[in-house]
Amino acid sequence: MQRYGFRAMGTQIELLLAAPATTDAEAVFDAAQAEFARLEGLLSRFLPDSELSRLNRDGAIAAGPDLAAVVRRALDARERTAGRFDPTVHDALLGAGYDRTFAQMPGELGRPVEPACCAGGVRVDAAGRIELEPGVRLDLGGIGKSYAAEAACALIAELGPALVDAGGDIATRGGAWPVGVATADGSLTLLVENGGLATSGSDRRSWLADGQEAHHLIDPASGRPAAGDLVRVTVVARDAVEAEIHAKALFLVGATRAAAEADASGLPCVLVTRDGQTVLAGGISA
Amino acid sequence: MTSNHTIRLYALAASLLALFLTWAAISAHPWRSAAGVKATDARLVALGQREQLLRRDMALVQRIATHAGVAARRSQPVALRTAAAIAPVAAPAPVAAPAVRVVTLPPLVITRTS
Repeated sequence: MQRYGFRAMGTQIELLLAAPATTDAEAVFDAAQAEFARLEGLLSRFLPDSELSRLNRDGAIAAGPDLAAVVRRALDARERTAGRFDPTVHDALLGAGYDRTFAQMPGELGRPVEPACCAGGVRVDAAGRIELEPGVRLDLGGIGKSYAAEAACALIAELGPALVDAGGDIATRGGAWPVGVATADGSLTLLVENGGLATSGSDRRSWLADGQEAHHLIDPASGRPAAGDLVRVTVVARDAVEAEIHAKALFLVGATRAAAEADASGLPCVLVTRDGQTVLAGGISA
Repeated sequence: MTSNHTIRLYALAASLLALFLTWAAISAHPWRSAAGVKATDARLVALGQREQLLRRDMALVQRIATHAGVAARRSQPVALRTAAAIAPVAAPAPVAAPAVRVVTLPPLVITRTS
C-alpha cells in the first residue's frame, strides 16, 4: 500500500494506492495533487480569481467543463432532494459568519446569525454558460471537494485500486477498503467496495454567533444553520459526490426521518444523534 | 342694497349645496338592497359556483391521496412476505449504493465531518 498526503481545499488530503512498492506511483500522486490545486482554483469561493468567484461577482460566466459539471450536478441534487441540497446558500453562509476560510474564523462571531434567502434561480445552458438570478450566489464547498476526490481517484486508479480521502470525503476505485466511521461512543469500520463516503455534521465547522451555536450546514428552508437532533451523518453512495449530497440532505431532516429515508432508498448510512445514539440504516449489515 | 346682495349670495350658495347633497343622495341608490346587488351580478354568481366546484374537487383529491397512502402502507408488508416466500435468498443489493458491511478490520482511513 502506497500513501501520499498533502493539504488542499483547506483540509488534509490522503491518497492511497493498493500497489506494491515497486510501482512508481510518484507521477500519479503528483497528478492527483495538481488536480486538486486546479479544481480548487476553479471552485473555491475563497479565491477571488476562481471561476466560481467570478461567476458570483458577475452573475454570469461561460464556464469551463468542471464548473459547469459541478453546478449541473448541484442543481440536479437540488431537484432530487426537494431543495434540501442547495448550491445557492452562499449568502446564508455569510450571514451565519462563514465568510472566510474556516481556519481564519474566530470562535465567537460577535453578532447573531443573519438568515438569507436560498433557492435562488440558476441556469446552465448546453454550452456551459451559467447565469444567476440577481442576488444569487453559489457555494460549492462540499460538492467541490468530493468532485475533486473523484477526479483524483480516477487518476490514481490507473495503477491499481485507489482511495482518496479529502478531509473525510472519500472516493474509491476498485478493491475493498476498511473505512473508520466515528460513532457516538467510539468508532466502527465499514468495508466499502467501489463507491464513496461523505460525512456531514455540525461538530467540526462550528462557532458561536452571539452566544448561540452556529455551523456551516445551512437549512435552505430557513436560511440559517440547520437545527435538529443529528450531530453527524455518514453516507455511502455510488460516488463521493452523491454521498456528500445525501449526507447533507439527511442531516437536515433529523434522525428518525433520515433513517426511514435511508432504509427506503437502500442508502447505507451511520447517524449519530446529539443524545449519544448511533443508528445504522440503509442496509448496513453488521 | 349691500345686505340684499349678501343675502342673495348666501341663498345661492345654500341652493347649490342642497342641489349637490340631493344629487349625492340619489346617486347612492339607498333603496337597493345588498342581496339585490349580488343577485344581479352574474360574475359574482359564477365565481361562487366555481369556488364550490374547486372545493369539492380538492376534498375528493385529498380523500384519494389519503386512501392511496394507507393502501400502500397496508400492502407493503404483504408484498414483502410474498417475495420472501417465493425467493428466500437474500434481497438484492440496492442499485445506487455499493454493498457495505461492518467489519472488525482496522481502518485504513477515517471519514470525518468535512
